[in-house]
Amino acid sequence: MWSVFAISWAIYDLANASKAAEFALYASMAVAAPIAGYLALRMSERIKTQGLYTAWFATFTFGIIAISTFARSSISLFSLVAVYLMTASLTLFFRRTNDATRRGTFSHWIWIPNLAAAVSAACFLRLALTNLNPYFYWPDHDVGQGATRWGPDIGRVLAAATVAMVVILPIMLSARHLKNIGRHVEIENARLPLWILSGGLIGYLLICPIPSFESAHYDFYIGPLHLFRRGGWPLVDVFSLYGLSFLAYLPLGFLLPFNYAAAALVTNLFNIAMLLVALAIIYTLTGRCKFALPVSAIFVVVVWLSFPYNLDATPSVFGVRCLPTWILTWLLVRNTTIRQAGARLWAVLLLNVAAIWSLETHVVAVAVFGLHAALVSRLDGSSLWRAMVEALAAVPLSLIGLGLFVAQP
Amino acid sequence: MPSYGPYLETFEFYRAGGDRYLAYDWLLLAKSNIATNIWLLFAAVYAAIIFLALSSFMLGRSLFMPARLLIGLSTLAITGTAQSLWVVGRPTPSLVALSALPLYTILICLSIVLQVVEV
Repeated sequence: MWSVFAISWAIYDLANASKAAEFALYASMAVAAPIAGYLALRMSERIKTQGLYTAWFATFTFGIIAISTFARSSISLFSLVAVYLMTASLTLFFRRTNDATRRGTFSHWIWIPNLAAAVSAACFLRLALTNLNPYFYWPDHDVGQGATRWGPDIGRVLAAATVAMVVILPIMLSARHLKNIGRHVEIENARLPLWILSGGLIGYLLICPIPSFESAHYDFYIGPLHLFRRGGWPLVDVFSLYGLSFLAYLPLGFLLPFNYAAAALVTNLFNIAMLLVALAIIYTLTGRCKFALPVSAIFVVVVWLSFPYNLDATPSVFGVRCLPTWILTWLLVRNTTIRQAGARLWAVLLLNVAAIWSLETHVVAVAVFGLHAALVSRLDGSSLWRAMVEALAAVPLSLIGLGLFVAQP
Repeated sequence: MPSYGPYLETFEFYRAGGDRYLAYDWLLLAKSNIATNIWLLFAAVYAAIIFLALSSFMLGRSLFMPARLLIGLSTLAITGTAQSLWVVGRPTPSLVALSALPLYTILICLSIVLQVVEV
């Protein structure tokens, strides 16, 4: 994994930003990742017990990672990768298979790889967080002024912090009080409603700012929608750069006025839905853990405020673009232990909604659905082949909705 | 029959280099927001979880964490990685924010889970 990082970093350092550099990056990852994965698997097969070899190799790996974070040229990074992969290969194929006599001394030296791991983690974080400072102002000069007019400001930050405190503090105090008097059942029963209440309040808070729009970006949606309302059939008479996702604006002309501001409001609702789905995913995975609700509530607000500009201005970048696949992700995250027929049916339904939504959501949904199915099947005890067949089944399953769509006159 | 022709034209447009006067490049993008400043974290988190999922898939048992959590985090990582594909062709800050949402979700889940203690 480190080899892949180092190569990608080196290519971007060596080459100017270009399509050729991007192609080189992905091509090199396609080569380096399988090699590194093969070596890692072979090592995990060989190393049955912890011994001096394990400690030595861990220290070597962490040392290389730490050194690489200080590299300043692509040549040195490539050299480090070469040294690492060659050393790993040599030690893998020429290592003595039985070092049982040395295992007793392992406990005396365990602090060395642990120290190396701490040092490499510190070096890695230093590198990852380099140039973080520019983030701490709103980067509203990177795009046109129109897009940032209604972007985040200090007032919204303060409002968000106040609302978060108002929501979270009573919840925490109530939970502590109920816990002190031994009423754990009430805490259990209140958990889900509190998450929903928090999500609703956060959503309301985020809707408050006035939506902004850049009409040129909205024309790709409003135009096809206008033709659709005049009787055109999508993908036959009506085309959009973004597939069928313009149908998200169907409320225009019915529930809302047919104008840009109303379209921006729809975009706003889709964007907020993305964050609330993220909140639901966190609840699904960690809802019973301590501090999960306050941490998640703050997370949702912070993510919204960390956007480079008000995402309502350009509709094709967030919720309108990817909400179906994001909801599918949530459903799949929920459907990991209990494989009920109803849950699978909902997943297939969402897979088809994503397939119809646009070409790219189709691709993403098939990848997510297929890989999830393979992993669930395999961890349930299925064979490799059966798991792979279940993954590939995502392709025909995703075409059901499109088939029905095509069958329409 | 339905036609995706106009949709595919956008892919072709950006594949051919896009509009050099309007499109962002990675060097400009890298200074624009938090998601791009920590792009290395994208690679680290997504690759680590997918690699863990692949290893678990090959071995037939969940490694290092309960199966339910591993499957959930892997699904998020795959979503983030797949959504990032569009960013390769059209690297705008807002699309990077889109591909960062699964990353944020994964990190917040891990930070909560690592506390281990239940309410």
